[in-house]
Amino acid sequence: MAFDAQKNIEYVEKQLAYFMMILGLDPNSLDTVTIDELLDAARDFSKVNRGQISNIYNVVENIGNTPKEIYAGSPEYVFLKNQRIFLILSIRRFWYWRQLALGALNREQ
Amino acid sequence: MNNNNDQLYYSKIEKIVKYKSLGEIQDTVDVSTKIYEYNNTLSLDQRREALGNDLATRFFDLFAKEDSAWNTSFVSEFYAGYAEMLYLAAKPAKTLMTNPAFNYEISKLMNSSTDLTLVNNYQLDYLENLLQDNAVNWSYNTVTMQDIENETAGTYDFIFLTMFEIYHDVSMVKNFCNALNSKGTMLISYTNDDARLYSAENEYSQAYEMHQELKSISGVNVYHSPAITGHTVVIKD
Repeated sequence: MAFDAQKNIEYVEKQLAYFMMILGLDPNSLDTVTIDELLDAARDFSKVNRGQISNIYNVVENIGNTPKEIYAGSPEYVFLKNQRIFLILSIRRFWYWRQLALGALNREQ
Repeated sequence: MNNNNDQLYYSKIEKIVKYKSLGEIQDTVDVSTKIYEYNNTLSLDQRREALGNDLATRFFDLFAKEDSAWNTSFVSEFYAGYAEMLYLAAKPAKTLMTNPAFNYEISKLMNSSTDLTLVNNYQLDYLENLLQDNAVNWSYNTVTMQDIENETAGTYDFIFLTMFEIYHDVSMVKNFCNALNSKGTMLISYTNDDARLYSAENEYSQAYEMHQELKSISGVNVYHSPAITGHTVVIKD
């Protein structure tokens, strides 16, 4: 069985639709929305306000049996930052993969 | 792979190993160049804002450059060699692979030595559209990501995927694991989440969550190699 461009794009667009719904965007606007609009929405959705949440934090972790003070982000800062990374990375990847999928579909038509 | 210490480290490793069937770096450059040039014929938005600084979206751009740090040291061969080593040790009768364009030489090895199934994604499209030639007689089955989701993709002795395929929903690692036969081996590459896996508060990273998913499955052993971008290995009882 060979590459199935239609099934590939169905999967990719389903994932993009999922992220658009998380961001409060209409998945039916996939053909008109831009990657800039998606990323702006993701950034608005997961703002990390350094003024309200300190990103400087020192924690003591036991490395081996030795307590050691290490630099870290505060847990709430790191949590929000990683949520933001997760959203932006996922959206960028599926946007890129959708463009490749559209290229394959267009080639077949 | 950004400094002289890394280059020195891998130059030392290069002198002490001998791989059986790994291709040359030039093969990777040639494959990546073909794909990079094809991508340029599409209306791809390749701005930094659109792609980010992400290996998943910039892989072929990066590896097409002969002077890239990934191509001028032993690091890429070392990383690919890990997959080859596990595959040769496992001697699988049936193999599922998601990334033949990232690992063209290993996919050729698999094509000649196992009952190979490839996942229906852009990498398969690259393989069929750009990389196949008369030098290799390709023979493989395909399954879709929908099949993986629905757990109707069959079962395998060896599964090779990247974390890129499951990053958006790390619970899917269980679906891949459920497709693994008893005594089977699963290799997941790029599992350190840009090194977030090793940072303080790492439990908020996707990679940490994926490993917790794996550890929650009974009857599997979970291993991790932190070298380069991270490999995670699952071996089923």
